[in-house]
Amino acid sequence: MTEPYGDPVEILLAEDNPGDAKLTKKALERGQIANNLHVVTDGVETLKFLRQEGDYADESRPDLVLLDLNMPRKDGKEVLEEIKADDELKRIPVVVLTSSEAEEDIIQSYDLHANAYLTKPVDFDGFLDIIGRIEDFWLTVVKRPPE
Amino acid sequence: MPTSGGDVAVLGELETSVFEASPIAILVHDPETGEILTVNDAAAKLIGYDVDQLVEMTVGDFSPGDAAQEQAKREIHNAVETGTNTLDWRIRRSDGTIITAEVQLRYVDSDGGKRMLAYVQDVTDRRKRERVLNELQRVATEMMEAETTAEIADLTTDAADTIIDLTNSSLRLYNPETDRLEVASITESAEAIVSKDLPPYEVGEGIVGTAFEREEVIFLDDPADEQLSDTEIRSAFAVPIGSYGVLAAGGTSRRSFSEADVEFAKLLANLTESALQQIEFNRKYRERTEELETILNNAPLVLYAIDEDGMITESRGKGLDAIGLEHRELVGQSTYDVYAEIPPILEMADRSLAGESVSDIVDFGNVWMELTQEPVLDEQGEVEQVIGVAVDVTEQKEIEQQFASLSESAVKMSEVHELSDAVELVVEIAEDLFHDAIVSYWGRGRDDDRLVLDATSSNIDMDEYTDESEVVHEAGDPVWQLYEEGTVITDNEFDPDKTASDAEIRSAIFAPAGDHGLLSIASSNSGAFDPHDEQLMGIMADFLAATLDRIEYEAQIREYQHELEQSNQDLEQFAYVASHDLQEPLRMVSSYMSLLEEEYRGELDDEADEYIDYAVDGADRMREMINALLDYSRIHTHGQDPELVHVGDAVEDTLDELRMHIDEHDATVEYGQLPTVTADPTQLRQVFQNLIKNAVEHGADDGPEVTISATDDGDCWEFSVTDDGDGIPVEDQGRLFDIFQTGSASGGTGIGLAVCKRIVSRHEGDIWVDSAEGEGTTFHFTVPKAVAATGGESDD
Repeated sequence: MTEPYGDPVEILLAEDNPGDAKLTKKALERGQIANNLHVVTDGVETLKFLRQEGDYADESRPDLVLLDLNMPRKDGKEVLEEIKADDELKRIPVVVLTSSEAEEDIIQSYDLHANAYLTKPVDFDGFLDIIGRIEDFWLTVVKRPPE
Repeated sequence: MPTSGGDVAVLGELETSVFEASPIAILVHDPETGEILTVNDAAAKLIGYDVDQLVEMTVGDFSPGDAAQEQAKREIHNAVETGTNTLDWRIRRSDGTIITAEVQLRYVDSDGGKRMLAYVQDVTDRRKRERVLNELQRVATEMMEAETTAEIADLTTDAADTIIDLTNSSLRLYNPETDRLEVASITESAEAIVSKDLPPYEVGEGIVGTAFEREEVIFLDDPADEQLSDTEIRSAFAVPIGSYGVLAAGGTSRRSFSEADVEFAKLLANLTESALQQIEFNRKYRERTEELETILNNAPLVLYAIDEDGMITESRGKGLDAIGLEHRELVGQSTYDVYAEIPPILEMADRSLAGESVSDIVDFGNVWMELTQEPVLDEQGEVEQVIGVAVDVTEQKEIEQQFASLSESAVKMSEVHELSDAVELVVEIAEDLFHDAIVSYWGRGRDDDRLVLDATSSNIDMDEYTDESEVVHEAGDPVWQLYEEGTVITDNEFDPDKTASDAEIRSAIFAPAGDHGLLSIASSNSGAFDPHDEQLMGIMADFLAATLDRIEYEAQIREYQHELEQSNQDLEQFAYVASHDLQEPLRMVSSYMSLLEEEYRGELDDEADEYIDYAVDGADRMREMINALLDYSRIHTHGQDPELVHVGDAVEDTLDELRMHIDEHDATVEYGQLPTVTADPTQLRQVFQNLIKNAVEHGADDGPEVTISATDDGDCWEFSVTDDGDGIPVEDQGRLFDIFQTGSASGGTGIGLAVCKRIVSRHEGDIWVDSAEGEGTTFHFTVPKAVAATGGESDD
């Protein structure tokens, strides 16, 4: 495994399943891009983090959000809607990462202006693969909006 | 030697002998004075005087009357002038009788002086005969002009009386009804003599009956005849008049009748017979003509004739009533004028007048008539006239039209898919077929024993039915009972009180439509319907019942289809949810087992490694099963429309995907010529994938060989995938395609074959296995050549 290079990228993972969260984290650790992963476990915390409210006052704005749709307190779609309606937050790329393959979820997510929609893979190898691609695309090739 | 009187000097001796012996009466007289100079014996006998007396007389002495004498003188003078003269001369004899004599006068101017010779012949009888014959001829004419038997009878007895001088005559005619000869006419004189009522004679009775029977003249000179015995009749004769009767004449003295009388009577009888024959003939002719007239005029058709110019010369028959014309309006008119509005008739006329036999059915507006025309040719072969017959075929035409209508209706009925439409259509059709009838359909509700009025013909205003009892019939009431009867019933004397409505119904037909309901037609006239109508109603009701059955059946089918679709969707929904929900725990197990294996490699003992291997392997298999379940669940809901697929290409694609698997097992896959089919391409590949994978896995341990082939089965293609493995025991073959098969020794997910089966089913094909222990396995499946798109495609 090569060493990650560049300044670390801030990634926010909104995921209520700790097992899935850990897998994502593991995959990112093995990835090519240096990154700091922050995890929140429900929709309300997601927004608080993004708005740098309360405990998250010192956190910096993430460069990429990985968003699960099924979360307690506020689900992914609502969060997505709010993010994209907020002038301060709407530019942040949001990649939906969910177990659902339902067409409705895909359509709705894009309607709510998700930047991409990914289905969670069935095993770790899959995770490695998907994270690798996200890194390639969203963190390398793509020009991210400036701060 | 007979002496002759008179002047012997006039004649010589020979002449005198001749003169005296001559049978012809000869008189010699002085033309100026009339003095008779000499006569012969014949003359004397004729005139009835002695010769001696005669020579003292003048011819004037035996001319009866002054007028006669004057006439005589003139005739004599005439003879003097011209030399001869022949005339008829009436002579009064010495006994007073008058005879008619034909006299031939010769004027002789000799030395002895001027003499008039007169040759005299008694022509009384002859003259009488001539007269009678003339008279009879006249009577004959009168008789032939007579119109009745009575007239002829009267003419006969009058003639007998006045012409033949049979003053007591009677005419009897044979009456076949009484078998008697009855008096038809009798002279006054006879009537006076035979004073009692004249009874009819039997055939053979008396001279009259005998004459009739024997067909000969019978004489009676003896009053032995019972009937005449107490009369003054002393002689009589009867002359038969053919088979018509008898002419009888009687006299008060014996031997009253001469041969001449009898001859005349026979003549008269002949005339009478002819006249009676003529009357009989005329009567028969008239009767026959009347018969024919009656037949012609009452024939239920029209008989007509047109001449070579198309003018109607004859028109007969009752058939014309149907068209509303009268024969006298037609005769004398030109066909081309009368029927100017009906071109087919004009065309037929043209063709017939050109010499063609034609027949056609023509529409006259309210009736249909079948016309048949035949040309009649004259000796030169030219058309002289055309004879035609027209028969009313309206009924047949109507029946034809009804059948055509029924056929059309059958087609319309087959296109109907709603109960109410079917009912309305039937009512419409019935209304069409039965003009002016009131059509109603009473439907039976599903769960109740009631008949409710569902539809009526347009001549009834449903709004008028305000009372529920008019619209509903409960079980038990008369109309319900008719429905229960189950057969078509016609009531031409319907009691209007049977129904609650105010409609005046006097005839009705009730035809149950299976157990769906009751179709009825009604009329306000009694006796309005005939068996033909009943038959039609039966057909209509059966139509309706069959259609309603079909509609119900269709509805049921739709229900089943719906349920099936629902069931499919439920199943696939379930399979989807189950498999989807299983993904997450699977992911946990699978992923962390991998991580564990990776990150703790070498740090755990072999035992732990083995545990991990089993866990990972289990998770992998679970993943495969879940994927297979997901595939299974999507077969109908995610199926694509069939399209043309080159099976060869599909197999190639499948082999590419299975490349790793094939290489791992060191397998060879061979295939022959593969056709093009119509199928869902993805699903077809799935089938091949499952079967090839199975074949590779179950094939021979070292280098399994898999063969794929295709066979043309007529209406489908049969594909086979064969492996060279150990085969499948027969007892395991039954559950092979079940979705919940417990893993057999062959391993695998067990769902793969269920997926194949479901896909093949979706394509309306079959799938089966051919295998025996130790002999390898072949899976066969068919894809119909022309596959209809099946239901189940979803749009989500």
